[in-house]
Amino acid sequence: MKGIIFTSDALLAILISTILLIATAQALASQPTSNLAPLGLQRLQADALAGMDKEGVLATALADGDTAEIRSFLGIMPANLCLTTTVRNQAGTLMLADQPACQCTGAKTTAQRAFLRITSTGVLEPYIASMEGCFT
Amino acid sequence: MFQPRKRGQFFGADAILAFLLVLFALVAAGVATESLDSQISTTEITHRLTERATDSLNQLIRTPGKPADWNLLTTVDNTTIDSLGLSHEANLLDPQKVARFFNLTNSTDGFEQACVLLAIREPGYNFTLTLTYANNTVAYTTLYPAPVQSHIAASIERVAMLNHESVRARLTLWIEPIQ
Repeated sequence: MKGIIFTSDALLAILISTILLIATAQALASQPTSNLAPLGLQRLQADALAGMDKEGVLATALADGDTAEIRSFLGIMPANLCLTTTVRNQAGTLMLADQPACQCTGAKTTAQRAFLRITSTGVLEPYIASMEGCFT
Repeated sequence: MFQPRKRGQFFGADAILAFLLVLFALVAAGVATESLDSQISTTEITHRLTERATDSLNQLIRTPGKPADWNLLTTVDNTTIDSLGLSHEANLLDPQKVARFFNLTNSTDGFEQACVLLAIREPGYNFTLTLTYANNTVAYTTLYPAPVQSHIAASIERVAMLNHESVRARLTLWIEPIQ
């Protein structure tokens, strides 16, 4: 009996084709379906920093040396985010840090905002607030 | 003397098998192309919706609108105002503008006007805007509920302040399926 499909050449060809198909499918599946997620996250971070600045949350937290108000404000953010907020002075010295215990599963994005705080002596001091975020 | 062969080669088992294999490959390629076309088309539409939703939400939560006191006008449509905006300062929502906007969008005509003013003009396009407090209480929502999964949709979420409270503003833009 003469067989076409069962020759060793044909079997080898089928094997190679199958391997190539599986490899391609796996490579395609590992690609992110959207690159817009980090951009959306960064916008949310920028919104949160703007809101905290305009409502005086950052200045109050800095004056009290307590991040509780920042944490409370960030309650509005989606639960699947891990957000770390830090405040540095003009010299770059870390003045405040709010670091929750959470694990990132994706890439981190950072948003920054400069804000002014009036000291008790009436002097305006510039600060930089940074928010690093990622999906958990 | 020359004897012509009676058996036709085209109908041999090898040829039929080869023909079937080629046919199978062609059909498979056709199905794959169709599926890929559909996926590309959906991705393109979703991308366009995302872009539109991003711009519209940005306009709403970061601009006061034009004129800035549009909420005081008796008639709100594209002849009386140039653009809709809900904030008096970026990310700080004006409670009066927010109330007027949701009052406007709770009627079919007002909703149509809001679509025009937010440049959501393509036929079949709809939007849902929802403002939610941190405790998940819905402060405001527009006339039409958020779409079911079968629709092509894009959602954008931002954070803003309303009456000194932080709110999540979620804009979902979707296309009604063709009947």
